[in-house]
Amino acid sequence: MNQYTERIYNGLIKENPSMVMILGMCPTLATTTTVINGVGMGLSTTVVLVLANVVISLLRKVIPDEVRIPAFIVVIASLVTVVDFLMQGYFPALSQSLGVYIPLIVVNCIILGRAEAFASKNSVGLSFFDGLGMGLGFTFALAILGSIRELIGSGTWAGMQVMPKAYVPISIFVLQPGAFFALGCMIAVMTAIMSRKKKTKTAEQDCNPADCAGCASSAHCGKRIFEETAKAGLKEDGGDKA
Amino acid sequence: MKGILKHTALLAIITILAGLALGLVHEITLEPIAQAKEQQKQNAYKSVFADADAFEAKDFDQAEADKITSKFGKCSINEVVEAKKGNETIGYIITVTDGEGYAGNIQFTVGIDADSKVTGVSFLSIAESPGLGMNARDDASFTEQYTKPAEPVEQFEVVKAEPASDDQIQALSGATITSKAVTGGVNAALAYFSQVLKGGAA
Amino acid sequence: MKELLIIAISSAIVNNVVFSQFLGICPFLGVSKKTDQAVGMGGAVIFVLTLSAFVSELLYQFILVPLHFQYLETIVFILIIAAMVQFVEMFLKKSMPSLYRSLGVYLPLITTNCAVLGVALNNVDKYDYNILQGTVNGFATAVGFAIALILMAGIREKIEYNDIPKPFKGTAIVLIISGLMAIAFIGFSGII
Repeated sequence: MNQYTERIYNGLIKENPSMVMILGMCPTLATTTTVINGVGMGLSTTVVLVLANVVISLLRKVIPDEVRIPAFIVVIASLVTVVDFLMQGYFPALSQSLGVYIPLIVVNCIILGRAEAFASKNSVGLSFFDGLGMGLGFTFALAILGSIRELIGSGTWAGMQVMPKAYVPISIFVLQPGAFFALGCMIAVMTAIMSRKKKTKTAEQDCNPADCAGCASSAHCGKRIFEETAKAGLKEDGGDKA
Repeated sequence: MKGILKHTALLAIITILAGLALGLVHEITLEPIAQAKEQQKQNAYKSVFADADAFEAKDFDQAEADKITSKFGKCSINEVVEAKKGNETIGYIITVTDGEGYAGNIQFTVGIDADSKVTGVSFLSIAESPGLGMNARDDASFTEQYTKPAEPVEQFEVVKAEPASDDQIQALSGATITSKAVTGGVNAALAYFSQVLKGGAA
Repeated sequence: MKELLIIAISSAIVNNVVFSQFLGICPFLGVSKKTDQAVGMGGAVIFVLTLSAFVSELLYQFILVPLHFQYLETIVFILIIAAMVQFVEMFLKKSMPSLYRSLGVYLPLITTNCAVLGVALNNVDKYDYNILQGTVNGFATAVGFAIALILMAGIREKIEYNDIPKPFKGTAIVLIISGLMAIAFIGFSGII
């Protein structure tokens, strides 16, 4: 496996952003009411992720370390706005059903996380594949979650009737609680598989999902950003120690 | 100090470049976005008034319309369009936005013919819960209830059971709020039609 | 006044940010381990969200709309939020050190809380609120977030030593609990 395919594998399975890293939870829960919405969200995020990784990798020598977070945010926000316009112009129905979650890709921690952890340190080619892998991993997770919720909640898949007519859809699965239930079970299954894989070191010891849940305290994005911003804040204040 | 200035300048340059790029993309996509919206509108007009071959926007008095629609909750009339067949006006299409949906605004068009009968209801923007409120758009049998009555109906009413008469609308299961919002909007359009437009339509 | 009250109740409880709009899930999962942390984070979010809803509305109504720059809203709002978080942090550190000590560590995390940007965008795009309504919506949304966060922290402290099946330990069980809480919050949807 060369390093490019390794990046894809890493994003799809090993560090799957939704199921292993527990990043980008908001769109994961909110847009998976149907499989089409989920895949649409996943692909839009993938586009932004790939572009952001490439642009930031290109600019990595230009952007000074101290202001890189705001610079990344500007780059990401512009890319997201571009994607938003394109969606409104060419996929109006999808853009409508995803609503505010398209502009909210800006604050999706996966993107800032990858920019910070990978693209700002690696070559353009590698960053491209890293973004692609992570994006596809995200799309994959959203597609599964969307399928589960749509099948159980509406009895359809991508709008087609799949379940027999006699099946009464459990509509709570397309409502908000169903999102939490389905994702909770999916993460549990993923954790079980992962911990069986590495018998010597369980996933739990490695990184207790609860400890790095959400970007807020994730080792991959939030924490580092947090430390950096704290550091930057201190610097601006004349270097006094907190 | 020098470092700060340099960083500020760099950030400013990046931001300005990003802004310019966005402006450019905005210019490019302005047309397709407008087209997509126009296309959607035309489709909606066509689907509520299949007989008509041309649609012509009609000026209307927003303040007057608001006065009439204010009785029907948080809804307002956005556009009034004349549906024409040849040179004859065969009815009106009223675009209504109702703010009482489960997930924000629902915008739809209501077609009303010269006999004050509803010819169709078609959604322009709706973001209710899939499988429940979204059935207002996806399940044609819901909107068909508005067009079913043979006689003109003045006001529709939402019921949860099997409708007993033609002016009753059976609520979507699990989505009474959506059903009420849509019905409120249809009623507002009907009231506006009968009070303002009816005289004008031949 | 009545309208403002309706907006407040609806965004704090009926359309709770976490349970019904799925905004701010990351900090909700990440900072809900201990009640005192949850209170700190909740307080910080109330502070920043109210302020940012107000400032972003102000900018939108008085700068973006007159100049027809509405399409720049996403980038302008996120920069405003990031800058404001930084500013609030510096301000608190200088003038209210005691408040800073309790909220300070949570402030930088708020930039990536999608509830903040979500409220700013929804205020202008989805609801067309004016400045007062927008600010009330921001405050109430943040209160709703704090309620959700503190409730969850209380529950998580209680279940800490429970015998949870291994794969469900950590995030999975928190999500299941959130699902149950979301069911409870759906019950509020009839009150308005």
